Amino acid sequence: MSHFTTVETKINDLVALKRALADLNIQFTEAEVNQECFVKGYQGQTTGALMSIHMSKSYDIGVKVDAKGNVQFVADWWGVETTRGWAEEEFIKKVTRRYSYHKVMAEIQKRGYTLENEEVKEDQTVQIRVRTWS
Amino acid sequence: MAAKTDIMFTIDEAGNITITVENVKGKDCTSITKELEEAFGIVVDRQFTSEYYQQAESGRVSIKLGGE
Repeated sequence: MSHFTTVETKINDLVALKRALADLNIQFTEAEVNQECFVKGYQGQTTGALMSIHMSKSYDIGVKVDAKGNVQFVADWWGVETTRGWAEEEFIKKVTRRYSYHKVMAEIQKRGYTLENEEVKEDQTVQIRVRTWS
Repeated sequence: MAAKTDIMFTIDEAGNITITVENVKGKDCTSITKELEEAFGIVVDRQFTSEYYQQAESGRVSIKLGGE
């Protein structure tokens, strides 16, 4: 029986995802072209994925991309939580939050918007104000 | 003469993005947000000021990326 469970996300930009992981000080390995890297799970079981996020010595979270281009995270979430202390929801929330920041910044740059102001509110909400001319 | 448009991106604790466009007429506002929506993900909420249909000045779009 496989202990790996897949979680769907709306993450579709791997560059922004890698920046988010770096912000959170999480190590990861990327597969070579046309290859897969190992994702470790319960009792040394492995599965293949595009990227392997190293959450602890014995547990990884795999990154797969679905037909629509959205990222799926595959892991033995129990093992990740037990060894790293991050539940599945917490991991998704932390990564998505940093991902959204980098995705917004990338779009701002791509569209040539001028950054006016960036602020982190007390409730951890991030506000980014830009200006454009049309 | 060029018109300036201010755009505010708000990212909440769960990673949901809200885009608020200011100083722009209704239809242009929709075209600005539409491109951004496509880049980010699905839209869960779309609000316009009551003046939207009569040369509105701002609009807001919320994009859900995080969990429930």
